[in-house]
This record gives sequence, structure tokens and C-alpha cells, in this order.
Amino acid sequence: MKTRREFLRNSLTGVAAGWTLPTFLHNTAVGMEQKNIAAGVQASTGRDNPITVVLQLGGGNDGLNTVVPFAQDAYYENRPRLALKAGEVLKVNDEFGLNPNLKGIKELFDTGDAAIINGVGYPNPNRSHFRSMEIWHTATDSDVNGHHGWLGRYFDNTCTGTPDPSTGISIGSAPPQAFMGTKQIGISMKNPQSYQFIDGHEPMMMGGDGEDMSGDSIGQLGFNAPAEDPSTNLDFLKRTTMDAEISSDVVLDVTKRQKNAVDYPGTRLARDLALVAQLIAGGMPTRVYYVNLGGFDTHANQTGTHTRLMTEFSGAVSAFCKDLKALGHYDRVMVMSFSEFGRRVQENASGGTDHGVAGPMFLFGGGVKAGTYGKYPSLLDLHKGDLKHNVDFRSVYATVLDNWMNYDSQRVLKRKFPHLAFA
Amino acid sequence: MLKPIPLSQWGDVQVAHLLNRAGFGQAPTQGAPDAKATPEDWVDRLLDVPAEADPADAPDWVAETNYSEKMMRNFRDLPEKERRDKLREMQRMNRQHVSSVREWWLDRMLKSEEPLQEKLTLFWHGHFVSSSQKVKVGKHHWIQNNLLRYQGMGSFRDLTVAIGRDPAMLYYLDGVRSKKSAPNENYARELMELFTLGEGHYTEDDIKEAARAFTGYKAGRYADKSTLVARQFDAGEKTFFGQTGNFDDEDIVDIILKEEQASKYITQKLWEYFAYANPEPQIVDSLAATFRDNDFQIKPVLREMFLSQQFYSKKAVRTQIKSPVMWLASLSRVLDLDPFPTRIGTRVLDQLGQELLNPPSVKGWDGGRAWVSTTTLIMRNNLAHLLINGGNPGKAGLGGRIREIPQDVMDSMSDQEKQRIANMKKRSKSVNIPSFLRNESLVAGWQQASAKEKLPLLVKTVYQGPINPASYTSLENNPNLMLTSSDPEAALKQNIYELVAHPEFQLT
Repeated sequence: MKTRREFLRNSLTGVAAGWTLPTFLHNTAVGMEQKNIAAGVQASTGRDNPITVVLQLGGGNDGLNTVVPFAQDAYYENRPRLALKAGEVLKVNDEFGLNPNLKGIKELFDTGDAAIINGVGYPNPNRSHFRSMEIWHTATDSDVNGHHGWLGRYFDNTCTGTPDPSTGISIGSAPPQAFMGTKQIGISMKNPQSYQFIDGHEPMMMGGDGEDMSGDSIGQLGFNAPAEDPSTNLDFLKRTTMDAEISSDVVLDVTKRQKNAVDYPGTRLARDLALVAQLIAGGMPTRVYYVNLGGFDTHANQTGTHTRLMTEFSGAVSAFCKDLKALGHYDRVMVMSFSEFGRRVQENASGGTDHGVAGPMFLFGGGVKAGTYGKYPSLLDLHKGDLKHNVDFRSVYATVLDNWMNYDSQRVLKRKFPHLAFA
Repeated sequence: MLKPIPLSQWGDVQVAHLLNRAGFGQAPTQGAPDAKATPEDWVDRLLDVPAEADPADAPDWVAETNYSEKMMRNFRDLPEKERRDKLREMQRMNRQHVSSVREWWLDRMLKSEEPLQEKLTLFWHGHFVSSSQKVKVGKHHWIQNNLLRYQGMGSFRDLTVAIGRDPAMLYYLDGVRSKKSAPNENYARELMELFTLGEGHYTEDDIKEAARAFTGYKAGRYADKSTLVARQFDAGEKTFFGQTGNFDDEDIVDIILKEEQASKYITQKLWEYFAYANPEPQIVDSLAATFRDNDFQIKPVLREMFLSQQFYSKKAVRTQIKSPVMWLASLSRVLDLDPFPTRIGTRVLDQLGQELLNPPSVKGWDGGRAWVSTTTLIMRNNLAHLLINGGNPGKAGLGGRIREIPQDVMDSMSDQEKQRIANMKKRSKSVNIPSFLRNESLVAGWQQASAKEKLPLLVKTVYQGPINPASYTSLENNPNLMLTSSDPEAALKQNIYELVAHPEFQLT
């Protein structure tokens, strides 16, 4: 069976720059015919570009038991069963502290590598998981049904010419709505194995015997459309098929070659972040990664579940930061965590909490200006039993886009949002 | 009126194109025209569809007389733990019902008894969207699906009024919460932005006023239909599109449809779904005029479209990127598996980004090039490989969730295959699926074909028509094709995969 890699190794020598074949190849794997893809990948991408890793806490994380307002009596009055004792909380200041299971995250905070943003939400909050998640993903006002994601709009705006599928990678079976752009939706994979053609069965759509496939003969096979706009759907499909074949090879090569530098906990989030670290250190040109930790919808018997999730969250992020540091990429990566909403102030009768609104966000990484941002919402000044938000989440997005990704946030968010000082 | 295609230009390629676009690639199972049929014969047969549901078609649980009671059981007085268990059981039942509607509908699409009716239902589903993310009750989906199916070719005006009162839509766009004291604008906004006019053809005030006119329709959690609760309806005076009156929902729809933009918006969207993107203005003008002249009936618009010369132009034939449903349908034709195991099929669609009853947002599916990414192409190829060759569904992204091979598929398997499955089941909980290649006439044709005829036979079977010459050359040069093998089954599996994995197969 002929493979794509064989074909590329045999045929790319002497192909001029600006050749019309897949962007992926052009951007990332110029040195593909060499034995070691690494040289090509790293030389062409550089190590300077900032990277954002979005960490989604799905299901509505209980913000009050994540960043705990131990100094507010109302916290203990509203949560006789669920409140965390002031003595066990990992104190950040006199007002609030972290859940005792967030030890790794507390260390990051103490070493100046973490920012905590309190009271993040948006006006006219929606308490449906589906709808609120959609609002966070599309970054639209809550009374507008958006479609394209905020990162998709970023991809659309940053890519000139042919879309590059490796701009964004989400770890999971399907791309998040945040990735949905008009031009493309990035790559999503559960693991490098799933981003491969089954049993090595790469389709041979090019034909030919590889040996004499010069750039010219490739052109004859239908690859002669201009790079900017493949004019027909057939051209577009051929190009994307090539992109798929090459990028799946690159992903497999990178993950085979690039190992993690530290051990990660045995959790799923840790496994996903370990893969992200491999891809970053392995030289992928990707600027945005997306990972997800679900299970936060704790309507009943919250404590056990939430403890496990906090431990998983903290352990995975902590290992990821250590790994990136050891691999020499820590300063160009920022992790941003969010959840679609926080939970109600008052616990329910089932030892759980119901859907609420505002909650905390975290940022981690070498480039983060550590500290606490946003005013912690008062538990005495509620709206229908919920905290009032003090920071619009789009201010956090705007700060990441403008000050970290060096990209004009107004082109993505459609208007100006005030910045926070974490970046 | 668009110029109709003359009989002299009518042939196999045009028939195949019509069946691919107005259906899922196959003629209606009953009363399909014969070889000498004219374009009118074909189009009129496709348009001749039943106007109401046959109750015998419904999934069993739909017909349960105590459906609503059974689902409505009140758990509030039960002890905490029992209450939670019951709730969980009910959520599970709701999910099963939604899956059941998905499988039921996919089966109808693949069987193509009325291909155009099903294809149009899929269009309306992507237009008047409701999603299982928010609408949890299977019966609501089933009711809405039938509304789209049996009113989809009739009056657009009546369909639009009905969808505003449809339980699934009332839940999806918050109509159930909308009342005189607090009108919810969600439905009114999407009605104008997405369902009838398009962005920029109305004002924010129009939305506010229309929202008042839509107040008052309520649907119980498991109710079959909504009712107008008079005291929650705002009967007061409204000003909408410059007119003032005590408008209700029907008045709003009638006023919207007086806008020429509405007739253009909907006919352009139909053309883009069935023919190609960005149609020439004269095409839209003509279809929009037909739409208005026929009191907003959909059928005359479809008839003009499917008979028009432009519908069969170079710009249209084999230029459309297959939706996952279309891709699965054409693959199932190649495999010739009837019935196709819909439990597997609906999961395939989910993987490929077109989970039925769950469009990604109220705007439906983007369609076209948005179906294609490196990820979905790898998935399409891996799923095709799995269905053609059999194997571990987990490897193709379907997870280890397939624990049972559907009975109809079991029945079609050889004793050897059955034995293999039985052995596998003894060893583990999940099973590898068998090859779904059942195309006996292809096997026979393959064995009779000379060496020269083999590739043309494959191309005809897999692509249903002539393909781009460069693509054909690339197939001729494909070293992985097995055109001379003495093992026909192995050769066909390998060859069909190669052709299905080729970009040409993504087009219809």
C-alpha cells in the first residue's frame, strides 16, 4: 500500500515556495522530504507565537466552592451542608480562598503564574446549559442567537488565502461551537490515533506511482487552482483531502517523536493536556487549543463529585505547566478556564446546587500577570437568588485577544470591551 | 417562468441528477416512471406525495394512548432517592424516544418511498430549527417532523403559522414562557431574521411588537398540541411594518409575506439547497414571482425549479458537496443494504456533524463547504472503511457503543459471519460489525465484466454518472485498485473503498 508520506518524500524535492498545494504543507512541513519532519516544522513556525489553551468546565461549575468567600457569613448561612470551612480553604487573601483540592493551582498562584477573575458573567444571564454555553462560545449578547464562534471568527480573520486546518485544535470528538467559522472549524481529535486513516488505509486520490510526481504532474491532476480560492468544490475537496492526509501524518509523527517531560495524573483532562503539550513542543503551528472537563452539573450530592473534579482540574493544569516549563514553551502559553455559569448561592435539598449565573475564571501560564481581578460578588446583594456579575466574560476574551494574541479584539467581538490587567 | 429543459436534453445523467437532488439518489419505490418518461413525468411523480401521515408509520411508543399520563407521573411526593431514580428513568425514556424518531426518519430517507418529501422535510428541519439540546420530548420532535413533512409542499403561509404554534418550536424558542406581561422576543426575532426575511429587513421595534402578537400559546410538557391561553395573549394594539391593529400571530405572518423580500428569501434558499449557491438574480425573481402568484404554495416553485434548464446546467450537475445524510444514503446504495441499520446510521451522522433533530444552532446547518474539514474527511473515510470491510467501530470513532447487531442485518449475514459475531460476543461486550457490502448485482456484474469494463462499472456504481476526466485518470493510475484479482469479494471491498475515499464521492 502506497502511503501519503512515501509520496511526499518522493515528490516534494525541488518544489518552489508558493506552490499551490495544501497550506498545511506550505506552512508547516516544508521539510517533509527529510527523514525528520521536526526540522521542517520547527524552522517554519518559530517559537515566538503566543498560544491560548481554552479549558472548558462543562455543566456549570460551582464558583462559590471553587473560589470560596469564607469571610462572608452569608456563604455559611446559605450552605449549611456544602460550605467549605474557613480553616481548610487555601487562603488567597482575607476575603476568599481556593477549594482545598486546588493545591496545584494555589502553588501556581503563589509563584506568580495564575490569575483569578471573580464574578464573571454577562447581562441578562440564561440558566440553560445549552443556551448559556452558546453565549460563551459565540460571545454574543444573550438576546442574540449567534452561530459562529468567537475563535472561529478569529481564525477567519487571521487566515488570509487558503484556510489552514491546524490553526485550532480541539481535543474531543467534535469541534466546539467556539471554533465554528465561515472558512473552517480547525481540527478535532480524541487522540492522535483517531486522527488517522483506519488501518493505514489512506486513499490514493492522486494516483501515479510517486516516483515521478513533480509539481507539474500534480498540476495536471487537478491541483492547479490558485491557492487563494479553489474555484470549484472538487478542487476544494482535493485540497482538503491532501490536508487531511498530511496533517494526520504530521500529528502522528509529532506525537511519536515529542514526549512529555513530566508525569501527568491518570485523569482524562491530564491525558488531553499532555497531548496538547506534545503538540506545542513538537512544533505544531497551532495558536489555539481547546480542552474540556465535564460533569459539573452537581444538582445532588455535590461534595464528592466536586472534590473529584477540582482534584482533576488542579492536577492536570499543574502538570501541564510543569511540563511546558521543562519543554521550554511555558512563556508562550496561556490557559484560560471558564464554565457556562456558576451555581445558585443557596444549596438545594438534595445536597447539591442548581443553575446559577456568575462564576470565576482562571488564567495560567508564564505570560500571566498574576493576581486577583474583578470584585468578588456580595452574597447579600443578589438578583433572584443569584450572584451579580462584575466582569463581562468578553472583557477577558478581549484582553486575551488584544494583549496576548496581539489581535484586534473588535474584529472578533464586534465592539470594545474594557481590558483587565492579567495580560 | 424559467425555461424548461427540452426532451432532447433529457437522459440518464439528468434523471440521476434529479434523483440525487430531489431525493437521496433513488427513484420512488412505487410508481417510478419508466425509461421513456419525460421530465414532467419524473417531476410530477416526485411531487405527488401523501398529504397526511399514515398512523401505521408511527413508532410504537407514539401511539400509546396513555403516553402523556405515563410521562407526566408526578414524583414530587416520593422520597428523595426514589424521586431521583424515577426522574432519571424518565430522562432516559425521553432520550430513547428522541433516538427512535431519528432512526425512524433516517429509515424513511434511506428507503425513499417518497424521496422528495423526505428531502424537503430535511430542508425544513434545517430552516424551522428545533434542537434536542433544548426540546427533550421525543413526541414533540415527531409531531414537528410530521408537520414539516405533510405541510412542507403546501402553503408556506400556513406552515409558518403552524410552526409558531408547534410545541417543539414553543419550547425551542421560548414561546412557552412568552406572555402578555413579559413577551419573549426569541421567536419573533428568528421568524424575521431566519425564517422569512433575512437580516436587515425589519426593525427592533418590529420584533418587539411581533413578540406581543405571539404571546399566549402554551404547550404542556408532553402535550400533542398547544393551546391559546386567552389571558396570557396580548390582544392590544400593535404597530408592525407601518400598520397598526390588534394583530395576532396570523396577521403578523400575513404582513411579513406581503414583503417581496420574503418570497425572494425563501425561494433563493430552496434553490441553494436543491441546485447551487448564489443563483443568478433572474432565477430568484422568477421563482419568487411563481411563489407569490400561487398564494405561497411551495409545490409550484419546486416544479418550476426541477423542470428548469438551469437546474441541469454544468453549474449544477455533480457540483454539490454531500451532506452527511446524502453521503450515508449514497454509500448505502453502493452497499445495497436494505434495510440499512439505522441505529448505526444515526451515530454516523452524529460523528459527521449532522445529528438529526440536533442542528448546531437556530440557523441550522451551514451546508456546502462547511461539511468538509480535515477531521470530517478522515471520519467519512474511516466510517466508509468500517461499513465496507467491517471491523471495530471504535476505530472509526463510533466508540464501543455498538453491542448488538440489528436483527435485520443478522438475517442478511452468512452462517460464517453469524458464527464469527457469536464468538466475538462470548469474548467481549462490544462486537465488531460485519461488512455491510450486500450488493449482489454488483458482484455478479464484476465477475462478468472484462478487465476493461471493470473500472467503468465501479465508476458508474459508486458515482452514478460520469466524473471529472482528471479524476478518472487518477483512478486509472491508482496502484491500490485491484482490477485483476481472482478474489472478487476482496477486490470489490478494496476498490469500493478507494472510490468512496476519492474526493469525487463527496460530490453529488
